[in-house]
Amino acid sequence: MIPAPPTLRFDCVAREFPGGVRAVDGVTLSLSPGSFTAVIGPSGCGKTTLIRLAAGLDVPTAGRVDAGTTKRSCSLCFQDPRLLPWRRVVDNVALPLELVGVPRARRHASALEVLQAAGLAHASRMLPAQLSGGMRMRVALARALVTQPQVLLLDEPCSAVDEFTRMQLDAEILRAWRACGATTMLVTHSVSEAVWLADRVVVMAHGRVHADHTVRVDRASRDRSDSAFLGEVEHCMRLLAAASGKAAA
Amino acid sequence: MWRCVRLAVAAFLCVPSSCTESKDGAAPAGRTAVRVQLNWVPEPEFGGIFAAQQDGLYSLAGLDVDIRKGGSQVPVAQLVASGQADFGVMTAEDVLTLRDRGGELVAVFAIFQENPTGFLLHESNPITTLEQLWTSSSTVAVDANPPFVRLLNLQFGGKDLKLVPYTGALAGFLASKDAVQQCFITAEPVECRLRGVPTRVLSIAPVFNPYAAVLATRASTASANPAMVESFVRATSEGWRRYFADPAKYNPAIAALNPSMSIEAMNMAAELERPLIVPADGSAIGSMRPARWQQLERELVQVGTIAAGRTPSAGALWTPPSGSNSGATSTKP
Amino acid sequence: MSARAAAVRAVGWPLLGVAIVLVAWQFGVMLSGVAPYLLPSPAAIARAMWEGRDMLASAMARTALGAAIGFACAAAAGGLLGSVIALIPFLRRSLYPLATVLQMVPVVAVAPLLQLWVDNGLPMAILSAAIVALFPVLAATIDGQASVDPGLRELFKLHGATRLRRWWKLDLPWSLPATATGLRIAAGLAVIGAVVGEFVSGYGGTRAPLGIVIQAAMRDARTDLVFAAVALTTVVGFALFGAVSLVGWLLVRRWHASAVNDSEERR
Repeated sequence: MIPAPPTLRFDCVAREFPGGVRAVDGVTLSLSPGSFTAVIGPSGCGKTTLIRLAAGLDVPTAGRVDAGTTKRSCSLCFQDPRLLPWRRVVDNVALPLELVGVPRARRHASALEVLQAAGLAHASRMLPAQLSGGMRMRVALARALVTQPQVLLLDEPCSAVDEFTRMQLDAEILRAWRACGATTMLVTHSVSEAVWLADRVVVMAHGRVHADHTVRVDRASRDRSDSAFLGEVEHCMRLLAAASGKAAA
Repeated sequence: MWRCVRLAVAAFLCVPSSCTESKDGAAPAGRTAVRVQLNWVPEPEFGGIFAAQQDGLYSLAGLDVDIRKGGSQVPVAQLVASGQADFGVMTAEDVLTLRDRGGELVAVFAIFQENPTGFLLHESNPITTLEQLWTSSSTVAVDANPPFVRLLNLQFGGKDLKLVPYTGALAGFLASKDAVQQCFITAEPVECRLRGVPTRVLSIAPVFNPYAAVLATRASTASANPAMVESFVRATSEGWRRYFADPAKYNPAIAALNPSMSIEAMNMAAELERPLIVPADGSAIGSMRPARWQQLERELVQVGTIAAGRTPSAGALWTPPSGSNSGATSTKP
Repeated sequence: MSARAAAVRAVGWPLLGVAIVLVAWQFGVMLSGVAPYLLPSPAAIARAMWEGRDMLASAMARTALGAAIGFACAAAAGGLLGSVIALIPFLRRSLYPLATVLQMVPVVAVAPLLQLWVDNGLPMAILSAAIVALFPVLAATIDGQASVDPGLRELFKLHGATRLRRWWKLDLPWSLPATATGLRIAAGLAVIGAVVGEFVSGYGGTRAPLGIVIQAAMRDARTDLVFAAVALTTVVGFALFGAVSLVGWLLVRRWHASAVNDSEERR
């Protein structure tokens, strides 16, 4: 029995870098259990710093981050695939389990299972150099899922792939989220991606939360060409433009 | 210690360097530029050459002499035969060997009448004869397979000996009581005595006694410019006479070029080498007898350095145009 | 282009180059009439090699043994020491510059010193070879392990890997291609180091290695034999270099970019 996913909480979190740059400047956010939240914002708004703080790769200079659970059940999928070039796909996916000492046979089985679910079973014996960029990213996503995380952090996973691959990858992310039910936070540049995937869109600027919008289109009827969906995208665009203007001011 | 480091570096670079400021081809008007290549660092074994230089004898003879120091790996015979030096100090076997290979060398002056090469042992070493040494299992530092080693092998076997390269350094010898190494009677034993290390020297002269250091030049130089060669030989001969008259007068200048050897050691070396350089039969310093060259030739054939039936000793000796009054050569049998 | 044609070209061009140089050398010597004790012809060198084949073969075996053992010691010590230094930041900052400086010490200059510490003959050749071969391995190991992709470091940190585990599963495999390059350089240097060691303490007589053969031939004005022995020294160097390259290729071919691309092209 998998325990219920936790609430991911940011409490007046700030991160100041040497030299006085405040990448994150007093963020308070609460991501409810099992929800899907997208964070958008102009470059340099602090969204990547925020997700690194959530993953524990960085520590806040003020406030606190509470992932409500042990570090182990928190997974991060980076912007780039970060696969070990000398390992076959299956061994790359099994790496997180390997590092916490899961026996070979068991971690191998888990890795094959997530690869199967992602439709990548045929590639399990390949080396990363033999895969396309999109495939590598899907392998990286599978690796993030192999630990059955309760908090899933996605740091612009689609930023380096073409439009068609991005749609494939988005569908894959959605399927994975539904399957594992983790509390999920996605950082992205793409407004339409954010609206298509998330329950809630947070707009950041200058290290602060500028807007917090709940997507009003029902998940079951989301269609990229539907007028209601496009209306939501437009609304978020305006929020982003306002945030950017404020940032520039 | 410094000496061995310097030697190693010199050996590696294999570049003969000049002791005095370079005067390549830039002799003052009226004087002939002469390059003299030594086969070792400046030491009393070259005393007469430095004395002639210091007293200006070469200049008086119309020569502008540039003395270049050598090292264990400087191929002096080849440098002279190929014209990169006008005169060189080398062993008589170097002269015959290169002549056999087609190099046109002639010997003009013998520095040593008696072979100053020997083996240096610690006084505590029970070995007292060459035969005992060559039938022991000692580790001996010697030049790479020189004729005298081959002669000793023919005579005594030497199957159990461990031969290692002789680098001119004393450190290895001082470090071990059983160590044996090749030496110049006028150099290493003096160094040891000054350090308070008692030693014994086994001379190899009873087994192998060629002219151990001769000045040689190219045959073509000697025939094209006999007057220059004769002036050089005459000045060198006079240099040696002056050097032995008062070594302490000339040693400081040599020591200045070789800081690793003290003036005190040089003064002692001069006394030790005197009986090996000044001919016992009263003939002039530097003179040579053809019979000893022929004997050396037989020995080199015996050890296989040169093939039988060749006679490189014929014509190896230079005859001065003005007869034998220069003191350089003598035709006594 | 078939693989065989490519192989023929890869070997054929350099061989042609060697042949041209040898022919030019032979005719140059014959036409210029340069004395054989200054520059022997390739034919004379080949003759000297053939006539002295027994002596040269045994000398070559001795030199190869010294170089190979010295190289193996350097590879083991350099890999181990380099890993420790790369793993501990304090050591990396304090020892790496020192290692670079020590690399500049010419082994010819210290060889007479080494002679005081180890036995003559093989041990000295091994030590001298190991000293010159150590630093390329050490530097390549440290550089290779210090240049691990920071993103991958972060991945390991994310999953809570210990430093030792990260070294074993990330730093070490990541640095293999760099270390293999260092080893190839070291293989060539080891032979030079061994010969330098022989120059100061190789045994004479029937046990002479190539270094001593070179010295003895030099004093006998046997320039043809000097060239023959030097040529065999380079043969030893090439053999060791080749063996190390092969082992290195076998180790990294699984993921080395060029190797993977090749296999992709074949499919």
